[in-house]
Amino acid sequence: MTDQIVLRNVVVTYRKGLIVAVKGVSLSIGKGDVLGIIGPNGAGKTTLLKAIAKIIGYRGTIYIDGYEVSSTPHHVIARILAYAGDIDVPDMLSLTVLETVLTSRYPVSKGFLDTKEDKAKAMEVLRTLGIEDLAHRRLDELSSGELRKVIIAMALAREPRAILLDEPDAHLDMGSKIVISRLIRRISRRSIVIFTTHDIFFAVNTASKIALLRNGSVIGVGRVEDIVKKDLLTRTYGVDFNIVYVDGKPLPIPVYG
Amino acid sequence: MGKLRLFSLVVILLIISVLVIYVFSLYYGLDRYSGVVHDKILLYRRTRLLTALFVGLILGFSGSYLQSCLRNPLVDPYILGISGGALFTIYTYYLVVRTANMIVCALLASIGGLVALAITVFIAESIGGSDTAYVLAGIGVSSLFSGLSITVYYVIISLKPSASYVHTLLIGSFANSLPSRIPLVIASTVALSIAYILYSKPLNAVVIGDTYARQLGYNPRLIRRILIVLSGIASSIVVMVAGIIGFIGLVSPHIARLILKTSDNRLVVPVAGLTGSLLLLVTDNFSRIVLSEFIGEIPVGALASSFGAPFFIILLIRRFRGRI
Repeated sequence: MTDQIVLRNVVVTYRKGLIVAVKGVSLSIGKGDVLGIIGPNGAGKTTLLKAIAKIIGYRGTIYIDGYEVSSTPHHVIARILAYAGDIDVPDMLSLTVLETVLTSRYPVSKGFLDTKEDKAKAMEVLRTLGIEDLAHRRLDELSSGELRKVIIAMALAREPRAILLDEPDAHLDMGSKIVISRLIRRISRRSIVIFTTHDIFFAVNTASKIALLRNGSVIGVGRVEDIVKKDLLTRTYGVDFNIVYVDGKPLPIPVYG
Repeated sequence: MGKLRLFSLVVILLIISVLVIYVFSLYYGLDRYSGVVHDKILLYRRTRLLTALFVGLILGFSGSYLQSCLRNPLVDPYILGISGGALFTIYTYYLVVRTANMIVCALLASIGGLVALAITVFIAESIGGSDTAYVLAGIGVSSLFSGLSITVYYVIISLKPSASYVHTLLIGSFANSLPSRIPLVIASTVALSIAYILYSKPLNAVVIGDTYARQLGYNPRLIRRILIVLSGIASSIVVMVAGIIGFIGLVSPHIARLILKTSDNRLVVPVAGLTGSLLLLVTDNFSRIVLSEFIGEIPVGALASSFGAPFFIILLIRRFRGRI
């Protein structure tokens, strides 16, 4: 049970059960795996990530490293898992990039002030992402692509065992997407990574496992080559696909018209 | 490391400035008097200076907390209507009971301030909850309670023309500070300082976002409620002790952020408090020592608005230039 994330029959509802966003999802992923969750808008991708991160409530069971999420206090979850979603930055009150990344270490850094170790770790993460020159810029001065990298830096800064990235490639140009993709594969040596995306190419080239989600249910989950299939993708997205192979990797091309 | 050093330097400079002004104004020209008069003046000055000092700390702390909790750089206890609400209940209490019991008065002032704040938040959230929504709702609620307060004020004056305490509160002033009220401002300052130690660090995460703060293991709603209620009570007590002093709570945190070049609440909050103290001590002494030579004392509340409001307008322009 350790070193993996296991979901059993996870159900998430909104508005007192009126809307069922996630309908009984079961998955398991182990250390070294990168799970990419793809699916159309409103499929429940972000909701599922938030349930795993204990940001929203759920029914069913979720285990992270042997901890049952719903019965584990938030501050313990915070030490083993980081969720990187959207943040909106209030201007005039915003911290610098370095200070923002340091906030992510609050659960692991006990004292009142940031320690030298905290700062070293935060700077190391910024360097890894190639944004160390932004360290002293204010968050409200960043472009959306730069902000995206800062959000990922925040997730990495406390070195969690599991990292959940909600659309880590959103607002990024192609070059930056590839940088993020390489980075995700690199951190997967230390941590379990789950991400969501709308870019199937990004998912196929980044993940080791893919989960297809539609209307809150898993259409298929497994190795990339087992999942990137015409019929499964069509059932997920409701459009036709052609599959081409580049360097042995299946790449789905949606059929327009 | 650089920021921490800057912080220490600024704090030390501010403390020295506050102390220098305190000692200077306590003894300035005092050698002209002797005996009982000397002692009485000394006591009066000490009371007035201590009140100004603690009121400044309270306003600086409260302003920082309110801005961070509401994630809104344009608010302070005065703009949110807290001061107006507190003043109205104090006046009403005074009108009905006539003898002011300090504790009851403080309690009622706090209730008035918090109710006014709740109305502002309710209106602001129902019109979108943006920065400007809060300012507009606050102005509405403030005006309502100012109008009511002035009405009650005239009723009190007609019944009891010598009610000088009531008169002072309308435009904040330290001229009628009472030694018996100092424990109230000290207690408020202590409460706000404890909140600083407990919550200024998590508050940084709350400013980034509720989802984020919750993820780090904090309870953003609880932190926000505690800090807002504490700030509301403390700034209501300020109204009871010194009347309405606008904009100090707005200006002080911004000055602190500007000097420190950060919005980290662990650094901003104490500097904002000390800045508030310094501003009020300087303004009050300017009024008592300089202005009184020529035109008589002008209430510190009036002076604070005179330099605070332009600052607020500049903030508004900076905030919205190019965004609409």
